[in-house]
Amino acid sequence: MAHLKTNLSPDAVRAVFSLLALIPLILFMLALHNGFPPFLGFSHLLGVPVSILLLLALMFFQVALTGCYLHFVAEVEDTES
Amino acid sequence: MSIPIVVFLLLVSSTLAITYWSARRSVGRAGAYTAGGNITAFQNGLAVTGDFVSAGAILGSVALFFVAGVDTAIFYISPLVGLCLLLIFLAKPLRELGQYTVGDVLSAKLPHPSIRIFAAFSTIVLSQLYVVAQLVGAGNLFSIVFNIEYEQAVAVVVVLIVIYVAFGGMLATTWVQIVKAALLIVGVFLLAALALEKAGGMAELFELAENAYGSPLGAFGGAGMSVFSSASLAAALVFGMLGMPHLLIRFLTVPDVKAARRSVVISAVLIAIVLGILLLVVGPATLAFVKDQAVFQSVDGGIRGGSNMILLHLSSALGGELFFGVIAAVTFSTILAVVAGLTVAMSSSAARDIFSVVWPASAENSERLELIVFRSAAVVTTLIAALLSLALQNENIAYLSALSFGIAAATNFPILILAIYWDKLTTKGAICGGASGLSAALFLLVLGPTVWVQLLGNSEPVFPSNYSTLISTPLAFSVAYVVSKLDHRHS
Repeated sequence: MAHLKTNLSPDAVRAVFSLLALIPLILFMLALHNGFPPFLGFSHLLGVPVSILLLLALMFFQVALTGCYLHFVAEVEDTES
Repeated sequence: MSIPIVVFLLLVSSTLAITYWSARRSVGRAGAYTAGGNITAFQNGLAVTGDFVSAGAILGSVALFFVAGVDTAIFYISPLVGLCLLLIFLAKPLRELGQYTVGDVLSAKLPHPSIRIFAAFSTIVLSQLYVVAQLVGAGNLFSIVFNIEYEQAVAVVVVLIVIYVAFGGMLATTWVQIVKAALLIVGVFLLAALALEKAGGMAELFELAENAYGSPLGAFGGAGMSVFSSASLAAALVFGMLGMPHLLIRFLTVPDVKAARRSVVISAVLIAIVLGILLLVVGPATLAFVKDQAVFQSVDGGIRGGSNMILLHLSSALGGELFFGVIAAVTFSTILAVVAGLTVAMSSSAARDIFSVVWPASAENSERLELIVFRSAAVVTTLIAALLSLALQNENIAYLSALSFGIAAATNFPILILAIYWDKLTTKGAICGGASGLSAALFLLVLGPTVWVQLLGNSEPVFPSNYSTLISTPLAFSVAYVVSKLDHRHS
């Protein structure tokens, strides 16, 4: 099974994934309080506001991250133990 | 008989058939509390999706989109972060340490019986609040669909829930949840397809929506939340996912750790699909087809039936009476399934973590007595929630749901994380930490704008925000840490 070859301890891997998981939320909070380029809220791509497309991308990044953790970390840990 | 009533009766009949089928298969404590641990990863993923996509998520967040636009995405992104953290930190230890309840998980690390009682207490308090949110949705929905009083609607829900839980236990609750999740996903896709068809395409839908909204729909800041409020709400939704007992006990219904973990990923995919469609199509469609439409307005100019009913009005605008009936039935099944799951969490905690600890019975009697208490607790807890829902019938259900997530984030979450990952946590530390988190969350809730100003009639709130997780959760961690350290020093 393909998996991440790493010298990081399980705790460090958990910390890295947790930080990655928080990134979409941090970006959203920045956008919410105008720390994000405001033009994104006004411009459109194929008629859809770019900010909504970015939010969808952040949501699916989150799902991909969850899948990656399962495939590359959790199931590998289970196999090795 | 009107179409909505026919669809509703069909749905209720099928859930009662599921309950009858489950009651014949659900054996003893394991059957009642955790469906015998025989639920597969995919089934559990669907059930977790159903648990999460509650009336609060679907009716409340669509209602919020109507007024706050894209800011509503805080309700969509935060829980996905929570699910990822649930997979990383809790899925494995929950399945390894837990048997039937959150109290089991805690007492595997902290064997003193008082920790069980505290876990049960916090489970009941925060689940009650979440049940109230669902009952408010059910009451509003029923009174619109069947033209009956709110109180009568709540009474119907209470009777159905007691039947599901008392007779079918966790097996019936899980299968009702699975059926509902499947119906919900189909319903959301249908709503989106009809909205796009009616508008003539995605670009046309957004043009209509932005015209009705009156400003660019993609612009942030429409909700006008302060930095503290929004960060606190996000923290409640993220960490509450790791503390809501009806979600946590789902991971005790699967056979092993592998299935528990896989079910988290399956639910993340399904939840993201449902929430993504709400954000991209259904939310804008409510603005395009419901806002400013006279047929959906009440005499005072607001939304007929209250803002929680905007999604139902959209279904009526898109597909007439038949589609309205289908979506109303799907939404109602959402409420029934979520309340049933919460009632199982409360009743199993009352029976296993309070009754069997305070009044231990002989081995041959304990299971029989525990199941009697389990069924009685289902009746009592739903009745209390019904009374509370009468007082809060005009509140936004997304707000009420977020409150219970906030309490979960300040009580169960800190104790669970510390019990699993910090060997020095003591029973005193856990109880003091959890109690301080719970007290702070409830105290600040009372002092906040909704209770202090709207319910109690004061002019200014003492605490400026409805969400206190940024204070209550760190307080719970700190108190648990300090008391555990002092406890070790004294011993």
